[in-house]
Amino acid sequence: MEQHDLDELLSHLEKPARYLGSEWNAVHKDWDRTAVRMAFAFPDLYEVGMSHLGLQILYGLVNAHSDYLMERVFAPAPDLEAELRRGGLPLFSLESHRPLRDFDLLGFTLQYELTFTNILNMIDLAGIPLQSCERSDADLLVIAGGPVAANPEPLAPFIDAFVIGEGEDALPEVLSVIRQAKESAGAPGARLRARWSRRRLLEKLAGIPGVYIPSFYSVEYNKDGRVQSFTALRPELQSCVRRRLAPDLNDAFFPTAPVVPLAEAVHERGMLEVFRGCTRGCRFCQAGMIYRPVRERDPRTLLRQAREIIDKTGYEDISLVSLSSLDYSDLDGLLPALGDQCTLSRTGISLPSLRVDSFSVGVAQKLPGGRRTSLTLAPEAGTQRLRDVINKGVTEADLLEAVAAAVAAGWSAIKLYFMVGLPTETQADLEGIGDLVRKAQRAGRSARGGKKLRFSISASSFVPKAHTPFQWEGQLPRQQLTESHAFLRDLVKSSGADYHWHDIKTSFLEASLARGDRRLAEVLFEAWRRGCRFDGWTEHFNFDLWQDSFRAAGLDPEFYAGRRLSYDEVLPWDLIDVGIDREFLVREHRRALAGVATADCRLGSCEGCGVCPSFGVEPRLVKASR
Amino acid sequence: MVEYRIEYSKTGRARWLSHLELVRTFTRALRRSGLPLVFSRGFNPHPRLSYCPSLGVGVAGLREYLDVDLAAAMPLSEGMASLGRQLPPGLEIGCLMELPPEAPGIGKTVNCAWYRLALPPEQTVDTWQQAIDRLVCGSDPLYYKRPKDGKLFDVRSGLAACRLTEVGGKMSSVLDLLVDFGEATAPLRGIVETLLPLAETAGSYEPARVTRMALLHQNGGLVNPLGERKQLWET
Repeated sequence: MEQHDLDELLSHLEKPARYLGSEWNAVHKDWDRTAVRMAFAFPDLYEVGMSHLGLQILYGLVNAHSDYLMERVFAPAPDLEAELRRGGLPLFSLESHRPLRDFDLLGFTLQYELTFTNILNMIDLAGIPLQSCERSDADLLVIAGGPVAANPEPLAPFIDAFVIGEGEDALPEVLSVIRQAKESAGAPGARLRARWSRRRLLEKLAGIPGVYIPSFYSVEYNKDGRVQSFTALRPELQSCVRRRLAPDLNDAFFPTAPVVPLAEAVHERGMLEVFRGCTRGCRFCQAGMIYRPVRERDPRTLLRQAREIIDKTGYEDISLVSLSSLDYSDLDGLLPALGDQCTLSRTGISLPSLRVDSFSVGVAQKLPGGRRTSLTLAPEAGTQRLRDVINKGVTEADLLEAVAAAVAAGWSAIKLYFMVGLPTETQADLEGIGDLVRKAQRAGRSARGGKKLRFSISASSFVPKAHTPFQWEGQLPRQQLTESHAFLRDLVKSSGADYHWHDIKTSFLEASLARGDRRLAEVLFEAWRRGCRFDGWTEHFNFDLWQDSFRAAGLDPEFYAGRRLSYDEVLPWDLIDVGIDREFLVREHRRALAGVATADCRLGSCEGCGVCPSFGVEPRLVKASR
Repeated sequence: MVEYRIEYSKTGRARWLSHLELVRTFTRALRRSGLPLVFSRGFNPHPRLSYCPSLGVGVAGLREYLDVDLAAAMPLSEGMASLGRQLPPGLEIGCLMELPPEAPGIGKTVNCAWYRLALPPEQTVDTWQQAIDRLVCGSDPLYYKRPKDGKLFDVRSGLAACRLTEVGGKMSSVLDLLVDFGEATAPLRGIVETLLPLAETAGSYEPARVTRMALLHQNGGLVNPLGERKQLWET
């Protein structure tokens, strides 16, 4: 885009800084000298996407390669979309402000089901046919990956190829195939097209482990709407696609010069990924299943990376990110040295979430730059029985000690997270939340010498997710969830705490999409056509349009969100193999219903989830368990 | 502790940064530069910086200023280079000056700004001149109502000086305005949106056509924040 046209466009936008692409550490490569050009698409606003580690990893990784370039694009805010449509302008990348259709491939990251309509919208704004089958040899390739690709089916017709699992190794392999395709076309630097047909390109990509080409499989359904079978349409294809993983994070690429946002992002801090994978085994948690096994980074690697991040970003804070950072086995070796490194630059150290125990609070207290405002703890359920069902290894005593420790450390407000509508939940479990809150308030008050501690309670609704022990469980009907939340709100408010709940319709839609099959693509199309965008944002979410869209597609969202599935039915995501044994998930589900907890494999015992033998790897802990 | 004044320009893509975004960008650039910053006390220490009055989003600035406290004195060229290397595209250091002890801060040093507008090309210089004459010395009242709060401004009240110049072979004209800072001064958008209809031009205020040429202190003569005397419209 010409500078003048860009200025004209920016002058109409509320936050032009979202679209400048001139951030510190942004990479501007020579377009004509780069063999393969990829646009990384984050289907939400800049401020959300720029807080995301996966983007920074892949951006750094691809741009470190001399033959490849990656530029970024985020979902255009409604004001930009209106300007683009009004002026007939194509959606463009941030770095070079080129139309997306000039790239060889467009790759979406799937972090949340409620960004799906934004994906359709971005493809449309790019001027590319929405469906894979409508794209010609001249169109760029549309790929997608990320945690939500653990069940990619609702997006199947829109995406040419999914990359399942961790992209550090798989994405460069995809780019290498595209380079071959372009080289065989003769002219280096030519656009993807020419001699390799789209079909041939997809065939080559299908040969890469972890790449799933949805158009190469057909799905057959029973009369009752359940999936009957999948058929691989080519003899060379496996019956399912196994995700990729990086066995050793010490060797894996890590971005120590991440792009520093210009427009204020949700989280602005240097991210230090202390480990990947979590083996606590919370039975509702998809991330805890699909990122196994635990792979910790060596403290020396982390300290070096932290130093570089601080020097190259100037961030005020550095955050230890992972699914449960305080489980890192060598905190004693890491934290004091990290604290020393941060002293001179006055860099704070933060933790995205805290484990519910006094040890964690004690660790958090010692970190430099900690704001003593609000501390967040997530007991998830109100009774020990239900916490055992979900395998959240937290006791009431843990919580009360954590609260007392938080008060001693100077925090004056505490946030507690719970989930409503968990499998086997009864009225007693909801009342249990009320009891637990009151006990925590008492513990807080006595630790503060009679002064009240501010509590705020946040509750979400249980959403069953693919590849978890609870994948077979239905979500409670909306009416019942509404009553449960209302009951809890009254209970919690009567004891003087705030109550916030996550929108129930949003969680319902999330559940329908999370357990959806390929037929939901039509619902997505109808919803997008009716104007649905940014469905995860309360101010944009329009449930009526979604209901119309389900009706138009002749599908019932309740069938996907609320139905209890049986062990013997084919699941829409059975095409995806995350490496966990099905028998393990069944066993875990049965143990849940029996209220039996399962130990964390960090502690030494193997519970047989099957991931390590599947991949020929082992958990990597830098220090034997405490 | 030594206080320095940094003169910088904000052009290109950086002109689209809001004041808050600019502040965060500078803070991080200074943190990366390795200069010996002086931090505030407390749990969330931040470097001590003060800025000149903010630029509108989209408006370029050629001579903008920022005061920063450093723990120790340093050679000016070295400081300029250390910080200059850390600035994203569109932000550039012009010069660096050590402030004498007890010098007033940048906020107190300036009381007016020189803006330059590239006028839309569809009118002749004569039409613009007539419109400007009416804007500056007409007798009819000219008011601008600020949309966000409905506050009324007398558009003439803060206009200290103006000059129209024809540039290039084409019929394009450039308007220089010297505008006082003050509660009563209309926002630049208001001045432009009042002027355009006077020239029978349909366009609207376009920040990308505006450049803040200088920040000055007017008290008899004109002095810039580096203490240099300036003639009117002298760069």
